Amino acid sequence: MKKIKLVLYIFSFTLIYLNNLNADNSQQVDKISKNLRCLICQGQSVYDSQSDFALSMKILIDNKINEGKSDEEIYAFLKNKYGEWIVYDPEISQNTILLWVIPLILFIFGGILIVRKVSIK
Amino acid sequence: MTNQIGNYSLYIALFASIFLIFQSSNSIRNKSKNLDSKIFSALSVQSLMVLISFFSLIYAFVVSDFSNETVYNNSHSTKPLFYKISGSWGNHEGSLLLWLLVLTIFLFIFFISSKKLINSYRVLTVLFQELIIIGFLLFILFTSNPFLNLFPIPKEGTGLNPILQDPALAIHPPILYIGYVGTSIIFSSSLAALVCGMVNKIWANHIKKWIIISWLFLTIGILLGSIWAYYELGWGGFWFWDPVENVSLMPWFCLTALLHTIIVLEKRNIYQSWTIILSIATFSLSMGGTFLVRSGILNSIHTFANDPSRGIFILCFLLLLVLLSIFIFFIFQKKLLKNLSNSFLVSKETAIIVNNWFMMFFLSVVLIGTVYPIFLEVINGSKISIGPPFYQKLIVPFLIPFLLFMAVGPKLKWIKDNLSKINLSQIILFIISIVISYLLVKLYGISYLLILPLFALAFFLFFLTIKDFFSKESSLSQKVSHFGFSLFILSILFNGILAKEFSSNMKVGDERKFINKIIKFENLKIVEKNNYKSLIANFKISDEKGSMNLNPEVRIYNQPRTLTSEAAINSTIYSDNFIVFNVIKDDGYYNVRYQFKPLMMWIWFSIVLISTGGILSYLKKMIKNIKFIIIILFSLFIFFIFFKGLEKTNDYLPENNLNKIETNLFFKNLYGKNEILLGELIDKNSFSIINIWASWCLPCRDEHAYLLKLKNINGIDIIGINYKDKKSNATEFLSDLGNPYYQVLIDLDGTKSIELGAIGVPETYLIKKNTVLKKYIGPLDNTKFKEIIEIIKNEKN
Repeated sequence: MKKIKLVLYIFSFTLIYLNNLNADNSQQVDKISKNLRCLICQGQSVYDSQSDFALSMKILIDNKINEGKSDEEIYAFLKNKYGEWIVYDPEISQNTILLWVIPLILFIFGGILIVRKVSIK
Repeated sequence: MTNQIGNYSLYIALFASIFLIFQSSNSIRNKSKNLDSKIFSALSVQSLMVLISFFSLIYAFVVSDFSNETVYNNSHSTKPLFYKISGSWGNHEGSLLLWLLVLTIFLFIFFISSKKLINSYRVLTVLFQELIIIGFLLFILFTSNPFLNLFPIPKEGTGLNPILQDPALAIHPPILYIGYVGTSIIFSSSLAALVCGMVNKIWANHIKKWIIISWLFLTIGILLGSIWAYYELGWGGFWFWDPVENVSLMPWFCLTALLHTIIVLEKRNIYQSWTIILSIATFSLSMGGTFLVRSGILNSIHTFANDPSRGIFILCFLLLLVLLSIFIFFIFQKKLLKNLSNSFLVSKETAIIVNNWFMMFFLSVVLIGTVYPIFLEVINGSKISIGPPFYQKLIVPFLIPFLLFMAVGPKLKWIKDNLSKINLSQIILFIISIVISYLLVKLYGISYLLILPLFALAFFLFFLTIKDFFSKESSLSQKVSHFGFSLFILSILFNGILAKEFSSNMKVGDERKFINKIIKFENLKIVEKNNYKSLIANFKISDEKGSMNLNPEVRIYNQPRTLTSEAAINSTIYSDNFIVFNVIKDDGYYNVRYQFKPLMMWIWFSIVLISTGGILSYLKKMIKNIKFIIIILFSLFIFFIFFKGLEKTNDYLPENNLNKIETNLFFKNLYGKNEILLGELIDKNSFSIINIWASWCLPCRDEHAYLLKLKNINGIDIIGINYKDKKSNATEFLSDLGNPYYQVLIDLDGTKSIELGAIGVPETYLIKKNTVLKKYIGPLDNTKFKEIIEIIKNEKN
């Protein structure tokens, strides 16, 4: 298994050096990199940044796609390396449940307030 | 000399402020009927002094007077005159002076234009506004004085950030500030009206003008900011849900709500306390926004200077103002009329309150999305990022009912109406909208569920407002604004579904096919300009209909040394062709990004239309103690969180739990051809160091001496990873400075460094048995070096 992985690695790396970014993957790479924070920039996504870090990251994502990794696996891999900070779209978790819920609660609360003020006749 | 003039005028303005506070509180206490002419003269003196100090700063910028520290830090003698002038408010100190200028001038205009109203209200407004002004004066004089002297006088300045050298950005801040500061007059006067017990039709009619003016400037300011982002940042987007953008959007939501409520107050004399709350909230959000932007607490592309001490000042000042207004609100709200007449469900009042309901929801989404990461970090230390997907997921679905209310609401009558009068033409328009949207969705094969109702309702609003232009009901400004909004949603939807983008690495002469277009990189020329060097590319984009040439630029500025990409955009009323390119390390290759963006012009135009509505209307002419305590505690809590937040840095720091190193990586060797497995190089029993470096990286040069020293310590192997470098440069670097490495591995494209968890060069990891003991981002220095020695010593014992 390891050997296959290794061959795949080498194969995909050489492939990239032969024809730069694989055109077929570029849309998926764009999609993923739009959702990643460029860690060395101020508030830019990896997609928008031209820093070395971001350029390498795009190649890496391309490689991972060629390895057959799914979007989720790539996110999971990067979160494992760099933490939640790197993704722009926070998942619903213990830490972020309030983030999603507060605006909705406020909306419902406002609705109740209006209904109570208004007499329905 | 100008420094002194500017400085002294500010001090005189400060004295005027103190005088005005005393004078106005006196005249309120004595209930004096005739208005003190002293107030008028003091206000004139104050405005004049601030004006003088503002112009002396501009003068210092124009003549490049580098004895002024602000000029030295933000200007350069070779800069064009226009940017010298705009540079005076393109920095922290100068922009605050501009704030102050608008604050004083607005107060002055308010004072002379409110002669018909009762004196105590006018004087109280002056008092509250002066409290804000004095806060700003103290802030400027003691933390951000723009008139500091430099000695010896430097010969040349350090320059203005090149991405700020753009016409849209030069006028964007003043316009946005007028919007922000305008809310201060609304704040002061609503508190004054509350105290005088005159929150009524007359006051509503008077303050409405100020609300519209602030709203107008805020809207246009936000528009200019987006235009700047679109043309200058070169990413092809115009709204990034970036914290700094959000900060300007929050008072906008609040102000838009206020704009609607004030009409109800004017016509029906209800919703008094809600109007006051909105006025207070709008100003607090403007001030809070300033705090968030200036303190560097947020991680943003637009960040100004980061200085926590400034943050603390604004935070305390904001807290004081908020507490003051809460106190006043709870003490005086008894004076407000209780809503004698309830409103009915089907009426214009209710429709407007529904608008407020949605505005408050959008505001809460943006507010919570912006500050949530700060709260989370202070409370449990985890760092998360909240980006566009969050805002889109929460806002887009709610636009559907919002559009429906927007279409139906203005048709309703005041007090009471009924829904049975819905007529045939409305139903027909509704059906037509649905059919059009259905065809569109089919035609473009869109799978996203919400697009259909969004399109349908946006079209419905669009048709209905067009039809309304022929009827005499409701005001023209409302029709224009609502029509503009429907156009805005439609252009964004079309833009979203029809936009196409393409990116590739190309060299001169290359040709790429993209859908039905051919993109050809024709040539590249280098042009030397006054304060920058420019690479101008020529791309030819052709399809069956014809071809066009676009010339994007990369500018290399000297002072300070920065690279910027200038996009080339071909705009027509149907679509924009957007192309931008960037220099990448590989010789001859450039990263090219092409985007086809339909209806971009319409987005800008629809926002202009929305604000035109505002211009038109201008031309036409404590309930229980427990609640009180909760609100006070809550504001203190928020203060505390932000206070704590100031201590946190926004830079990326490696997380401690990631201390296992990925060893299953193959590298090429710098001095050889064979591939090496990283795991084999790492000492299984003792320490190793991995150092990621590059010959083009200047800090790597600085840390090199420490690496050489580390090499001499027994039992440590330093494994060098050469990051995105040229082989010849790397070997030359090592032969010049000495080779501290046991092995030098090559990471040509930087991907392996990411596998190791690195973010750039230089980075150094101290490793023992495949475990990272210590991770250093940035160059090694004496303290880090000593720390490494210390760790090794302790572990050995």
